[in-house]
Amino acid sequence: MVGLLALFGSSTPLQAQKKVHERFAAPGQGFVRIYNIVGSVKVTGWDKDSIAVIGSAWIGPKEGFIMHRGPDGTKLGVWDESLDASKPSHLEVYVPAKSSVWVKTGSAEVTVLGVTGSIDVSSTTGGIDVGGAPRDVITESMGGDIYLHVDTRSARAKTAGSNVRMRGTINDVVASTVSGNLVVENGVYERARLESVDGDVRYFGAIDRSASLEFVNHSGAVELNIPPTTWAEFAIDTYLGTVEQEFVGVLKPINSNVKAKRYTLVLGKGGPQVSIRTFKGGIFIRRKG
Amino acid sequence: MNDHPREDRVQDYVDDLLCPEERAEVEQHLAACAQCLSEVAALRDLVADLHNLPAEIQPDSDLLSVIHARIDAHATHATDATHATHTTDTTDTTTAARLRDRSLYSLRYPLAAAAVVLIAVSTALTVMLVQRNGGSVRLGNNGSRNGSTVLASRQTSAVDQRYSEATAELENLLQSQRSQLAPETIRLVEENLRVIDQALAEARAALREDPSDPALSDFVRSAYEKKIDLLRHATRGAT
Repeated sequence: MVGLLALFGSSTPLQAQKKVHERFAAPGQGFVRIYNIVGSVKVTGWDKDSIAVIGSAWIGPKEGFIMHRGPDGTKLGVWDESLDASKPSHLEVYVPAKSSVWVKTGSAEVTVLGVTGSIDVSSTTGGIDVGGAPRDVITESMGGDIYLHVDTRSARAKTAGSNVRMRGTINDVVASTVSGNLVVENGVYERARLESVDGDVRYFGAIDRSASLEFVNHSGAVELNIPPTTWAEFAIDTYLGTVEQEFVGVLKPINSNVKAKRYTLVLGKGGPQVSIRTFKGGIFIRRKG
Repeated sequence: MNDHPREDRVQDYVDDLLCPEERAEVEQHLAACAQCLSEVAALRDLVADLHNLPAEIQPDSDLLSVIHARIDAHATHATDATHATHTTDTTDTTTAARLRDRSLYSLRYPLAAAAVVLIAVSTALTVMLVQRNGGSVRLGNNGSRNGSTVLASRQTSAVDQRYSEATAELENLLQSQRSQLAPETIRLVEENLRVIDQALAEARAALREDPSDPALSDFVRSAYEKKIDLLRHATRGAT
């Protein structure tokens, strides 16, 4: 009995919620790798050459809060190989704004704001929210929604069953889903490839003068809601889908020896290139605003 | 020596981010494993090279104007070109996007990247070999198709085969790691694999009916890439 109590007593402290409050100097442009399995991670870029971590970390039999500092960067967070953390950890991390930030989570939600270095976030089922003006951003979550409200030169967003929502000015963007919807609100892109398999792809906003946009979908719809004054050249291609457009311009069929329906559409004096392809999803080009 | 440290641990070792005990473990392993030692050396070289790279490269204005002029010319050409040209553009964009997709951290998973490269290289080689051998790949029962259709079929068969092999390997890997995945994750993966497989089946069936349509090949390839992406993410999550 005494032995059992001793065993129980010795194991209990291994499972607890631990408050985290750390602050230390860090290189202004170093890397920061952050891990968390369950719970949340909020990363904020600040104008200081130091890293601060506050929050609560679940210390279980297999996982615990780790923090290691190297000459070029820092690794911190809660992680375990088995990915079976039983309770959530919530970490708020303040990093030098120019840091390169890398975050990996299981189901933990991730928010990154105010970081101007590179951002790379990968989650299994957690949502991802990135805002600000990062140098470039890569996001991937199999089952979590991705929201990018960024001005950046390059952005990538990839999800399987969840939605992607984007705003901001991006030189080069690639976003894709499998069954989730992909929505662009007031995006200004030079080059974009927006793609889904079964979800809808919806674009709201103007088309930049120098844009080259590509929309691809299998069975979901592609819907463009663009201003009546838009100038653009469209190449439209669908195997089994339908095409509807609300502009004065005429859909000109392209003769070819294949079954797919192909059209061109020139609005205004043309200019930006827009390619839309679906297998059987509908294509809608609507006047908006 | 089978008990190699995980890739992220090796990377952390190179970045000096391990605690003394972990560091000692890795060093003990390195003393007896030439393969891991070589990997560490390669990573150190890579880090050194990265440190030597400039933070930004600004091309001079002359270069930019030349590039813009070429892009404009290319875009104009694409507008009134045939669909074949359109498909080439798409492929270029996709390839470029795939390359851009690679982050520094993705080097931790060189196998995944290598798989994609392997598919591309193997596919190209297979197509070359098929062409050289006068077409040993079965093309179905329609022997009267024109040259471009036959070539499209050969290429599609080669692509199909390579992607099928890659997805089969990843599916096997996922199956072996199934116990490590949360039920929610398994459900998510299975649901989305069903969606992709359905799209793949539809695109392949359409391609059989209309083998000269390169856009359909693109749908097949795109579905395969999505499948590989999903499987890769799922298996990476499990490890």
